[in-house]
Amino acid sequence: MTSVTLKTWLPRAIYVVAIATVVHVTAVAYLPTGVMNTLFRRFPADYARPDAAERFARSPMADATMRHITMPSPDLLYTACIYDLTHAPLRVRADPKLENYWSVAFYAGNTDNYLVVNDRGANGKPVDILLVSTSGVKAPKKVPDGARVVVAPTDKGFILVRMLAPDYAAQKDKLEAARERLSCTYWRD
Amino acid sequence: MAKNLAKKKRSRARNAAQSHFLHRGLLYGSLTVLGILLGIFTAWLSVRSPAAIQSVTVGAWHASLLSGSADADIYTRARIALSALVVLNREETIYFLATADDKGEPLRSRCSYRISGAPPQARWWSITAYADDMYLIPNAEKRYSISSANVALDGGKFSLVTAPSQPANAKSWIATPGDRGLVLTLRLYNPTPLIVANPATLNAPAIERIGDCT
Repeated sequence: MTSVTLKTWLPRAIYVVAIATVVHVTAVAYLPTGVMNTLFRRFPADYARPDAAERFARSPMADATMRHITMPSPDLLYTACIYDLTHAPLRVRADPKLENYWSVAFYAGNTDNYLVVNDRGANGKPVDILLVSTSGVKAPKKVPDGARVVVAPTDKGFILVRMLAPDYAAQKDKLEAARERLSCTYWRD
Repeated sequence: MAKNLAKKKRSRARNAAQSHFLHRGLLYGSLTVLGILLGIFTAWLSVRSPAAIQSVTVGAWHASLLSGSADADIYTRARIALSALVVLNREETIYFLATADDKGEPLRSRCSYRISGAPPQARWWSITAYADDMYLIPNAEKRYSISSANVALDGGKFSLVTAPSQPANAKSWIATPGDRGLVLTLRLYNPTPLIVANPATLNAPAIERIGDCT
C-alpha cells in the first residue's frame, strides 16, 4: 500500500517542486529588471521622451515624501537620467565645479552599477562620456572630440548624479549652478 | 443484441477514458498552480530581508560585499533592488545596515538609541534612520540623518541619538516618531583602501538603547 502511494505521489511531488523551482528562480532573477522598469515608467515624462532636449531630471532634496527610490539619502542632491540606447547613443557631460563629493553613477537595466566617475577621478576636468549599445544598434558615426566611449551592458539604463549637500539651504546657489553644468542627451550625429 | 452490447461497452470505455483525462487534467492543473504559488512564495521569502547574502558583520552592522557589483548573485541583486535600489559599488561607497542594537534586540522607532564611537574611516560618512519599508521616517523637524559634516565630536569620538522626540541634552539627534521597525544605515563615501579591502576593519559604531521606549 505504502509503495503504491509513493509510486503515485512521488512523481507528482517532483512535478510540483520542478514547477516551483523554475518559478522561484525566474521570479528572483527577473525582479531587479522589473523594479528598474517600474522606475523607468515612473520617471517624469518630459525627461523620458526620446526627443527630450535634456534628459537630466532634478530631484529636490530627499525627504519622507520621496517614495520612488528606496533608501534615499537626505544628505545628497540627486539628478537622474534614464536612457534607451536603441534610440541613439547617449552623451553625458558633467562639470559641477564643487569642492565637496559628487559622482556620476551608471546603472544597467538589472541594477548593476557598471561605472562611477567621482570628483576625485575627474580631477577637476569635465566628464564627457558617450554611452553606446552593446548590441551595436545605432552605433555612432563619429565620436565627439574628447568624449570617452563606454559600452553599456544593457540598452536600457539609469544614470544618477549625487552631490553632497549636508546644508542645501546654505549651498543652494552653488549646487543649482552645478546642476546647470550637467547634461544628458542623445547623440544624433 | 450483441451489436448493442458492444456499442454500450465502447461508449462506457470512451466515457471512462474522458473521465480519466479530465481527472488527470484537473490534478495536474492543480499541481501546476500549487507549484507556481510555492515558487512565488519561496522567492518572496528569499528576497524580503534587506540583509545581504554575502555580507560582513561588524558589531550590529552588516554590509553586502557585492552591492551594485556585476558579480552579485541573483538573490543579492533582488534584495538590493527591493531595499536599496541604485546603490554604488563597494569601491565608491559601502553601506552598513543595522536592524538590531548591540544586544541583538530589534530596533524600534519608539525607542531611543545612542550611536557612538570613533569616526568611520571614510572621506565622508553619514548615519540615516529608515522605517522598515526602507523609506525616510516622516517628522516635522526633517531630521533624518547625521553626517561627518554636522556630528558633534568629543575627544575624537562622535555620539548621536535616535529618538521619537528631541532629548534634552543630545547635540546630534535623528527623529524617529511612530512605532515601527527601524533600519539604521551607515554610508561610507570614498572609504579608505583598508575598509574597501576588508570592511570588517570598520570602526563599528556602538548602538545602545537608552531609557524606556515610549
